[in-house]
Amino acid sequence: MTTRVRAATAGLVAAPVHELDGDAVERVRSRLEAGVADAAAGLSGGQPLEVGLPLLRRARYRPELLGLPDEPFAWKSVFVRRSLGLEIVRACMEGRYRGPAAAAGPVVDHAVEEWRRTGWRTVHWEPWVAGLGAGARSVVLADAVTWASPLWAAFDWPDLRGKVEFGGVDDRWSCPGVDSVHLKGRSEVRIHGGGSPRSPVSLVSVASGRPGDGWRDELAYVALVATLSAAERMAPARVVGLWPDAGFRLAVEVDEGMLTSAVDRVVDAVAVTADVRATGPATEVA
Amino acid sequence: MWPRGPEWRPLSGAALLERLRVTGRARPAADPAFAAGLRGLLESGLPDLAEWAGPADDGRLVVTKDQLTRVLACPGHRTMSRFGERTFTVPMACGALVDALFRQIVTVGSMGDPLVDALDGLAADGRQAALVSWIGDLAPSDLAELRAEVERQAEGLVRRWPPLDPVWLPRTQEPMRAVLAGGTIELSSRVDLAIGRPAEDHASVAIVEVKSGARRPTHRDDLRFYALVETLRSPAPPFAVATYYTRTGEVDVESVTHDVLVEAARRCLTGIRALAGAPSEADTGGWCSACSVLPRASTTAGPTVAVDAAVVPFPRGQAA
Repeated sequence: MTTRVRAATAGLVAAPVHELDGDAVERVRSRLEAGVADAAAGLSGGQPLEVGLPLLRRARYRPELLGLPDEPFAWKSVFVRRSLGLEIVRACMEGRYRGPAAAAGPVVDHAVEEWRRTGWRTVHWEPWVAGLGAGARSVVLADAVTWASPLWAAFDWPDLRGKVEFGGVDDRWSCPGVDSVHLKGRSEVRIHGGGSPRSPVSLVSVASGRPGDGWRDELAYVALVATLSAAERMAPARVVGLWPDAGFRLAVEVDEGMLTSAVDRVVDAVAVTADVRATGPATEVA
Repeated sequence: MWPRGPEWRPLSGAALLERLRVTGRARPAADPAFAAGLRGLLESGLPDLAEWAGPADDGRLVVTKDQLTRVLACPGHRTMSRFGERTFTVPMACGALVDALFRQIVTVGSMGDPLVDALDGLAADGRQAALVSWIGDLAPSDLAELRAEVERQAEGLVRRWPPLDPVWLPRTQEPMRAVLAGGTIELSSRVDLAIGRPAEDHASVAIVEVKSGARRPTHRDDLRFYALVETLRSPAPPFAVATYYTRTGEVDVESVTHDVLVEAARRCLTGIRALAGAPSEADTGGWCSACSVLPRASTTAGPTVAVDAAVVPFPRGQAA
């Protein structure tokens, strides 16, 4: 285990740098509600809008793509790699396998067997993977191993045993008074405990590609939705972002200013989307 | 080039693994100052990037090994994207199918019917739908030729490729990106296989490229581009880069030294400037036969290309 990995692991369970009381969270929430209500006034006909990191990025960097119809959903390997990759890292943390490449096959087999036995789809892809031929199945495993390996190598996971929650349900928050706008946040890992009253103390977010200039707002957004959706409205201490493709590990310590910048990014994204929906995507205009 | 004697036999199993791991050679210590100097070398040649009207995606120029090879082969290829869609060929299809089988062997260690498994894998990949469709439309004789070659190479892979210890974190089709010039330039690659847990104190990663065709000198340039990108994105450079030729079982391993990386950076800088539309001396000649009949735009004097001026002294001959 290298010095860098040990330091990164210690950072996940470190005490919060900033205090963040309930009043601060309330101010952030009020600003968000007011901003979204204002920006969403331009959304046509109550058409629903789910805000998430993909929408924030698209609104900032590629607004011309907003308003284009989504592709019909069909299972692909890329849709499996995150949930399978997280199960792989969990299995390795528990000491059951020597590395992601050894864990991938048994983890998939176990998931499919459980689905066949109970009929319950824990990760949704079990029936699709069960029907794949050997070649396609190997691609699913290979993609998940490649996704999981840098996450596995980034931290000293066995040292975090008992404090880690992999995946889990997405955080969701609906804006009161604006039925059409919903916020969805997702982190790959939640780190609990560490003696902090704030729980989870850290969130880990994994993204492909490289961080854009708005990476701080994007990590703060993950914290924002986690805070608003938590029963006790308690903010995590920090969000650590990994961009393995580009070798970046960046973090934000969560304070009121950070959450406020995330709120402003959300409001901007809603306004840009409303504008695009009102005028139509650029390709249609052209 | 690369003559092989009658006694030559391809490496397999543990011997092949030893060759890829460069067993017996100490893993070089990481040198952050050198890596910073390498970045400086690249960025010192790109200060006037905004003045050039280059092919940009989302406000940035994404540079791949294939783009570098093409643009450095002929100035006419700067505008190659205007020349229409890529045409599939049987050798290209063979390469994609063998790549899929290589992934399968590395990941699960076995395969069934090679062509069936490989097509199945390409279809699941999601990025190869056009190629899968093209293969499906092949004439029976072409398909038979493709099947025979894929089966021949698959048999060699199964027989020779060694199992990899999961502790080494073998990962296939790993995307790698390095950002330069404040994000304006992005070096992008996807390597067939990376082995080794990334470390910050010494080189710990080996990169393997798989080729189903004949050995070519330009393959070394591809390897060096991978080494450069990995050095720029990671705490330490790779200790070795290798091309594995599935048709013959040959393996070409290159240790990654400072000299190799500096040479790769200089080549990369020349290619970036060409792709970004910087006028250069390369416009004055050396067009390939396909492009030589095209009308040439008049060139204007541009910023001086200082690709040979390193910003920091690089020790010669020292391993990276």
